[in-house]
Amino acid sequence: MTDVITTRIQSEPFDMAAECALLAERCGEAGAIASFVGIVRGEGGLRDLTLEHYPGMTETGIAELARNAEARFPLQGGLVIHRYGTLTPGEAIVLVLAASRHRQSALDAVAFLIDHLKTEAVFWKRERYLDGTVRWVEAYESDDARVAKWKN
Amino acid sequence: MRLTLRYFGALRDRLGREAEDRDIADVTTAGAAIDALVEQDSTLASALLDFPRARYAINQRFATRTALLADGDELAIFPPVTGG
Repeated sequence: MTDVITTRIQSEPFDMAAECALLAERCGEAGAIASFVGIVRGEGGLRDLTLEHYPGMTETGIAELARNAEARFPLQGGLVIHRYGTLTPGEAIVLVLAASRHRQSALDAVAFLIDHLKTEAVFWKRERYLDGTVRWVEAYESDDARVAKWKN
Repeated sequence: MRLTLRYFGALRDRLGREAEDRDIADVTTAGAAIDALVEQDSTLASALLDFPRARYAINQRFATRTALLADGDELAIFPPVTGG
């Protein structure tokens, strides 16, 4: 059985337009493809951002999240790409695409996936600033609240 | 039992080590194992005080302190995740 939502964990950049076109081709029945792209913000003199992951657990966790989204929303297809390694401001970190017959389930599936990626995807971000400061990003409690609202 | 411990993110940096094998006697749960490790290891004890929201995984699945452990398990300890 083929997964509805494909998941990839990679250090390489991705091509949003190409991925969207591939998904559209794969999902001929879809009337809507919704997307989310997360981008490294360059504020405060950030030099770069390094995402550490837990090889094995990170992949398994994101695949399980994708299975949950498939069970919850009527999707024709979807894609989650999450990068690890060192990224500079302006680079894309994460891509979420969801294809459905109608826009609402596509938009909802993307929101569900990114909200859960924030609290469940096994990555840790370390920021390095132009002045040499290095700091690990702390988890936001507001992200937990966003996930809690899906539990109904 | 013998456990493989793994540390990630800021906790790994704080400890200055990323993995180690440790033998612990007379424990069945993740919470009891961590309490026993903290007893044996003052570096780990002080590091965990700095990470009160630390999370656990057993064999690469999120686990709570009440989760059961078996000989040879991989127990990971890390700060809350910050992906996305």
